[in-house]
Amino acid sequence: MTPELIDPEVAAATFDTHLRDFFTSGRGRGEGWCRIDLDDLHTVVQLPAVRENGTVDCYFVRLGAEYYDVWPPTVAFVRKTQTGEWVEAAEGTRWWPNQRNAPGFSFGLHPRYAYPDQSIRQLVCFSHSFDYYLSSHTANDPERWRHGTHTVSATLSRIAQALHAPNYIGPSGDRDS
Amino acid sequence: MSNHQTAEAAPGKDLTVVIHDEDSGGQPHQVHAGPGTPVREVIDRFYKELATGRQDGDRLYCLATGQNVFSHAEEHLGDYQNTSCTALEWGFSRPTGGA
Repeated sequence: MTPELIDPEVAAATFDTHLRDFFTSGRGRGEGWCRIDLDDLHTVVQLPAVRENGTVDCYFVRLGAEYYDVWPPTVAFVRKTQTGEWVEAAEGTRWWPNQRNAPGFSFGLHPRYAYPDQSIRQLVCFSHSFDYYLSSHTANDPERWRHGTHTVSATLSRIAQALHAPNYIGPSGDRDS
Repeated sequence: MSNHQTAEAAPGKDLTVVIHDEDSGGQPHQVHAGPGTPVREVIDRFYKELATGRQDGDRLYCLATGQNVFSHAEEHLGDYQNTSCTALEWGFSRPTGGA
């Protein structure tokens, strides 16, 4: 099935409703979470990552709703530049996490992934991220994103679980960029 | 005071387990049970409320620690609260793929 863009007004309204819900009733109401809207279809979510010793690091994840919620949101770890622009975070910086692939479900972080269309960019690799379906991975049926069941809550909750000790080690480096 | 919904003693000393369906979001489920109730019974009541049964790959975890709830099924809820998940706030999700 080839993903098709959703009517932007419909996608934006659904995305906003589900995000509000997550920040009201889900993990988003906890400490360290916040939402920075970029436009109707794009939001940066700050989320806390917890190391083994209890240290909390904050990361920023940009979500895109172009295909939402027939498909999951696009997901990328980002950092803010001095000019205020949000750009993809690179491995070896404090904005890209060092994460073990053992959060109790399949999850992977690829800072430079070669997509079938020849582009090379980040892949937050799990079945609640849109780019997963553009990569060469295939989800088993029970693992696939289900329109009408899954929401952005599933996306953000899985990332939060992956970024919690013992699955999370710390930032991948000290550099800012 | 936090606006988080956490376990609290209700009249009759029942405990409240708050369970978030983290796949779909929305208002969390609540299961009320006495401290001597097996955790397994709370799990069963939650699934009954969902009108579904447990499936391979289902995950039920203490939100504060990430610890698997299923592995505590035979403990009494009060003991489980004291030793493993003070807030009695759980997350629920079905399988996720990736690599």
